Amino acid sequence: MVTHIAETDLALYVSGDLRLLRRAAVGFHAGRCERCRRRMEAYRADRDQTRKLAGEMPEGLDWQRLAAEMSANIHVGLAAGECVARRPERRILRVSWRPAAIAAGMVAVMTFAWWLNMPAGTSGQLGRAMSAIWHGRANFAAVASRDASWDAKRNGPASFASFGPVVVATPLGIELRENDNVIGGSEDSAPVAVSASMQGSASARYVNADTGQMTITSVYVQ
Amino acid sequence: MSEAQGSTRYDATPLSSDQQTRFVSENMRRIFLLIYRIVGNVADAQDLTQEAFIKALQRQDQLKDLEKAAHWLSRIASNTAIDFLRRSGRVSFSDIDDMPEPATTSIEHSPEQILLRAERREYLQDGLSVLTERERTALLLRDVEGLPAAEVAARLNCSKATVRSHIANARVKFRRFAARRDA
Repeated sequence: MVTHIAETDLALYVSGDLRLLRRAAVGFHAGRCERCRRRMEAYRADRDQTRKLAGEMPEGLDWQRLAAEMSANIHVGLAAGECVARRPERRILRVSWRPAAIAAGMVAVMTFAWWLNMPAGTSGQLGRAMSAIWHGRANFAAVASRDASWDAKRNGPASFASFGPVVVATPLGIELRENDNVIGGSEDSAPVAVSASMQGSASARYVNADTGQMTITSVYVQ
Repeated sequence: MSEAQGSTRYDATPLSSDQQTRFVSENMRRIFLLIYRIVGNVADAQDLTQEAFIKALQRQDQLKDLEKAAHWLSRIASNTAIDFLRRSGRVSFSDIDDMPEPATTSIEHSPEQILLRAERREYLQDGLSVLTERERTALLLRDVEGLPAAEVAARLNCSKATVRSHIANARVKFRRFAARRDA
């Protein structure tokens, strides 16, 4: 009894879609089996005919009219698509933690470099001012000078006379000194907090022990 | 755009209106027939052909090598047709043994009517109508478009083995249809 090749294998053989070993076996069998060879030829003819007929238009179809209609619709569709096309969305800047960390590091380095490159007197004054602010003491002077050098004239309130107008924050209050003249000075009570800035301003807050009223005195030098 | 060996080549820049018109007219017949063979009726094929061209022309920037524009357009067309069949729930599977006789595949087609149909076009369309949508699509992409099985599998979003099965089933069903028709 002769065992023939399965129809599906014959169908795949004609287009070379069988695996290599199976293809060899089918080819070998078809070479000796007239029935399978005829079946194989029939599948090949079907394939060729399908390919040929697929290029023909459906019966009764007016292709010229249909093509013109489709072309017009395509152009209308494209024009409509352009009209309703969405504008490109604005990109929202999203910074991840890495760039943020890098930026923070750069800021820290630049701040440290600025601190190191600051003139010795200026950095010393700034350090003392910050220290005083930190410890709540006001025994330093915030000085704005028009033309004097801090390095040469930073020996304490005694030498302020040569600076011109000087704002001095003392434990007793804020004073404006010029040519050994003192303006302002202390209130009735000692200030609760005194602060000064490198821009030449100083402020003090006083609290009246009897009334509880708070007074803030700020002095700016220009 | 420049002529080269009888076919039109498109540069990688967006097509002008004239170039778009030319691109459409050169490929419309082929694309329409491909879609028509897959979906099986003129009205749907017309809509889907238009949709495929609009998609293609709106995505010109995605085409790196416009010398392969015809292949690229075929891919968009077949995907559009397959998506349409998926949306309309017409993609189905059937076993060869469960295949209905050609005379009963369509109620309005009596055996006498089928035998009377001598038109070759109807022969092909009737033969394709006995196939499932996936079998028909696989057969057309493999035999008419000449795509390798792996490419057909990619378009149908299934394995190569499944595509082979679809193609084999389609050919066997078509052969049975032709044998009965010729009898």
